[in-house]
Amino acid sequence: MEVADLYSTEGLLQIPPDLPSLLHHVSSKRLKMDGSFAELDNDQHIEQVKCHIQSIESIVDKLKSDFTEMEAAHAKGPADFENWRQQSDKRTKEVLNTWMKPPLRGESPSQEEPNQGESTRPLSQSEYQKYGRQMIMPEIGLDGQLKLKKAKVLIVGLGGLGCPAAAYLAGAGVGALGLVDDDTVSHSNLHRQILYVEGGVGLSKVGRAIHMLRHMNSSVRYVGYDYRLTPEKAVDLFRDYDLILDCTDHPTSRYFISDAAVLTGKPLIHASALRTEGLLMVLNNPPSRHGNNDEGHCYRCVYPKPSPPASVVTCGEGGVLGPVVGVMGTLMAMEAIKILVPTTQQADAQVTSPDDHQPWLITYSAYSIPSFRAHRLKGKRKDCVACSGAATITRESLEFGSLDYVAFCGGRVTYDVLKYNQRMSARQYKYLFEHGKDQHALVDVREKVQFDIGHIDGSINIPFSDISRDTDASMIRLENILDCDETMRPGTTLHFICRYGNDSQLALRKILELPRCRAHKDMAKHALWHGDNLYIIGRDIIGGLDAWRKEVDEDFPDY
Amino acid sequence: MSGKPPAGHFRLLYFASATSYTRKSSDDFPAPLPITDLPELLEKKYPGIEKAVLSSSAITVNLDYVDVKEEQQAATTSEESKPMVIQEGDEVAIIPPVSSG
Repeated sequence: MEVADLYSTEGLLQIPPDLPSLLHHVSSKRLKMDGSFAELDNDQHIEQVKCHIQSIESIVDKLKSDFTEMEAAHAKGPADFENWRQQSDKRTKEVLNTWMKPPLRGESPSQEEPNQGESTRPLSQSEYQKYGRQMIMPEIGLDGQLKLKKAKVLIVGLGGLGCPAAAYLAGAGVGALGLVDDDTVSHSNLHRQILYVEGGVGLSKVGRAIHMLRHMNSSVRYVGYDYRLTPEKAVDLFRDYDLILDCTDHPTSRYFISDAAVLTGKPLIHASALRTEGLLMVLNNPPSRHGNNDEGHCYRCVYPKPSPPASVVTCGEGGVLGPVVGVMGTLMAMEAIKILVPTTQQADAQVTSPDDHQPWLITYSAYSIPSFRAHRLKGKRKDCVACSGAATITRESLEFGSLDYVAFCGGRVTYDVLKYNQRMSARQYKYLFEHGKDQHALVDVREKVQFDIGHIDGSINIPFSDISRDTDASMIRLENILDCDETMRPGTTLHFICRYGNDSQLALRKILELPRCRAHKDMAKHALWHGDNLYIIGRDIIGGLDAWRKEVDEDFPDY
Repeated sequence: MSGKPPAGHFRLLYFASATSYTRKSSDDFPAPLPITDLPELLEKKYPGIEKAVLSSSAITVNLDYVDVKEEQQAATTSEESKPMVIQEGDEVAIIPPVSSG
């Protein structure tokens, strides 16, 4: 038996008779969404077996609770038992129907079958139970629930935005939920990416998200795309869905997702979050047919020009509070429901959305009052390159990759700004620290809040934000600190460190650009002159404190 | 900062990278001020902010989106069309794009 044979097309493990030994074998590999297997390392292997155990335990728990019901029905008498059996069969059929449906491709909404002939009711009993609390809202109603059941929603990015958005849309009972991400779960995700648990670290986000979402609502069809979305793939993928949620984290994807949504005529919900703030917009709603200025504007109409690359930070670098990104993802799910079930079409709706499609942008600042602001936008730009009558972006330019989104967003930021002889490894620094003859000082250029989390003993904190704002003033501050330290003499060599080894290079380059930083004639090195005193410019530490932890001190906080 | 800007001033709210750049959530500036003069005013107070932040940001006045470039173009091409003027007590917001998620 091939390993692949153990899995159904949905990636579900088929339980063979000799389960435990096979499980061990299977678990050294991870099924990718394209059907191939990826080898896992030892830690991931252990985590995967743990996950299998958890899955099987949850099956056993369910079986036990079913069995309790079964015994209770049996005790009551044959009629009750028969009744129980019919209910149970029906539930089983529902689950099987959900899992055994054909792939999305080529399927049109009209082929959706609301019932299986047995009942004339549009929803199953378990669906009435699951969605009752939202169906009795006049904004939804039975009609709205059926609209949701027909809807196919694509979520691009399963991070801090995608997780809550997916959870609420699964709970609301959308028909199909497509999930795109190429990443694996890491410990640093767990404070905000609520679909993942510690046992899932190292495993595919798409796989773990679907696992969790199935536990939340098994009636939804989940389709995983375990790859990084590219402009080439976007147009083709978007065609299969009614609505797109952009939950990604990079300027290039923000632009090409908007362009692909315009080209395929799909409404797009756009949100982002960083640090303590978030931003939300509904774009391309109603969808654009090229040239008609009354229809929904696109991302480029609001932000025609991307931020310069140096001011772009991702959550990993910039930090983010869990509830901030969570609230934005939750708002995305609500906007999705509003688009899928327009209140203007719901007869009893007590709250209706305005008909005039006033476009808006919501900003959320957790520490400001008021926290939420809704800004009115102008709508379509007359000269928008994506959605106006003057549009130049075509399906071909995306599908054949002729549009260079990376270049548009300012190119790849390369951090190799220093020469080889201006850098050293963390190990080299450790050696220097213990055996070096020259006196040196280590300048840590992280922000103070990070320095306070942990730093190398004796290092001095001069944040990069200060250095980039006023290099000379921050160097004077450093010299004053060094002058007060009796162990430090002029002539001391300055080395630089940061979290990952990017900012420290930029800081060092900025210092080298100072007019009073000149070559020292005796040493073929640059020195920072201050009157007759001088400090020698040393090196930057490759990979920063992350490398220091990996190569030298494993106890250094891995934050 | 809370409440209203002092008499004769408008309030400028910073969002996302504008907050990181200025290290403030808001500033009060004397009003009235033609919106086309706002970039220069900020550049003077925060050198480099125009290129790093303003050039890609959305700007709203009392929650309405204003295209400063369009206002600048209109002001230079026609004598009659006067750019929009920020008034005392107005709330102006600088909203740079945020891409993280």
